[in-house]
Amino acid sequence: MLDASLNTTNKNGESKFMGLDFLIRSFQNLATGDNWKMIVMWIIGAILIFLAIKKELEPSLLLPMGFGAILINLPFSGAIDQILSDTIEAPGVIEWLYKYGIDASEVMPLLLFIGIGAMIDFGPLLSNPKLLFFGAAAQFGIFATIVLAVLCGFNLSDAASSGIIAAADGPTSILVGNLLKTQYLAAVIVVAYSYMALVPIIQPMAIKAVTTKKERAIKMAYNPKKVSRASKILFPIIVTIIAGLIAPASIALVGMLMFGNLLRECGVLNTLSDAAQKMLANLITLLLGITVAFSMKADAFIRIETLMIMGFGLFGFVMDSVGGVMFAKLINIFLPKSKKINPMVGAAGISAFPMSARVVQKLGLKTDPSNHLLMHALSANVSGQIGSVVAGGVVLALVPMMLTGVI
Amino acid sequence: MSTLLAKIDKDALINAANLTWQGMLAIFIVMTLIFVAVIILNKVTAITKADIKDKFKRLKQKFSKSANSNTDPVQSKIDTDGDI
Repeated sequence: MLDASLNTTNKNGESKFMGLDFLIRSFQNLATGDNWKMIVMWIIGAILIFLAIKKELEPSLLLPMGFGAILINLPFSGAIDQILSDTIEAPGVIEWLYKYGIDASEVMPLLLFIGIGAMIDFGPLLSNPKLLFFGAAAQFGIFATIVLAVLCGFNLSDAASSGIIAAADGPTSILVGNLLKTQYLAAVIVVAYSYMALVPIIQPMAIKAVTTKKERAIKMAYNPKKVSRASKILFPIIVTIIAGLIAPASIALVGMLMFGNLLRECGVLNTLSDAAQKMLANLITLLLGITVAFSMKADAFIRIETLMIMGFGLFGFVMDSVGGVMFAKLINIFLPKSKKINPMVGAAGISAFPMSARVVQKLGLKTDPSNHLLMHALSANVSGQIGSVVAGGVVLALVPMMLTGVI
Repeated sequence: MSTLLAKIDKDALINAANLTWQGMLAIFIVMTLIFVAVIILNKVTAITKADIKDKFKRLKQKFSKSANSNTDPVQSKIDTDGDI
């Protein structure tokens, strides 16, 4: 909470801000101490808004976050809790939303998962389930980043929160960062969403660096098997049970995702499915962006570690792609020539849906105009959705145990 | 180099390394179980009522055939020839 109690009295004990003096109080506050950082936050907010509008980078999140960054970094901002005249407590709406929507219950990111689950069609993955493993392999970036962050001097909680950026999954990053009580939550969230928007730029570079043109030209036949309605209905229930038994910490994430998917596939709740996909997802996204901006207070955001986290995020996204590609190459050693997997499909095993699948499709067509990989890449991409939430749960289960020395 | 290494929290590094292999292993285990479940699910849900009826029919035929082949050869000769 900002301290609103400026030195408001002169040496005679009389108020300095008599009459209309309150009009310049905020300007004076900006000139004191480290409050210049607030102006830097306005610039950062403006950059986020610019990226959202001009470059269309994740506009649904970057725009509210950018605006929120300005909103909460105004001196005596009424959007966050203040104490007026040292006596009156004035609650701020953004702080209230953050306290109850994210900090106390993580309800916002979790509810967003219902919407995401309702949007995903697991059909292509069910017809070719071996692509599930790419959703696991492409989570490698998370752990590689955690090791890098520790090497750079971060403690395990902060390193794990930075590493989870590589899950390429905004709500998971918010949830894990918040539960691990990282001091860099704002940076983690901003970097996570920014890099997700930059997937079309980062992934092609990473994929090209670890594949040859010949490998990128590998064609994969697409012969989808018919998936029954019963399979589609039972899938979310079975995944919830399996994830819940193996990694109970992931169950809130996986459960909400799968609940959303069950709404979609059951066939009798189309109105609710529609509401989850459109109204719920949009409403939560709208509030989530401006709410997480609460963590973008100047003091917490403007520090060298924010730049380091940006570097970690980039490293994580690159290592995700490398992990997926390398796993595909490993599998190819054991597969006959006619059944080889295009290694680029492995890189689509991240959660950034459907950007990553589109990147792979584009790269495939660029190498050979008749090489269509979209359906395979989409399957790997939706498995990445499952992989990222499971990874989030695994990190949440293992890190506290390691910190308390249970392992 | 040695100063840099001295600055690194070795316990945190060991924990990070453990987290890496244990985390990746856990994710692969979950995905493998889901994979097996999907394979079983696809197989089970692909079975139609007609398939089940067919299977029962074939089973019935098999039983009746084996019942015929298991009868006493002398008795079956009596049955077919009509006299001893």
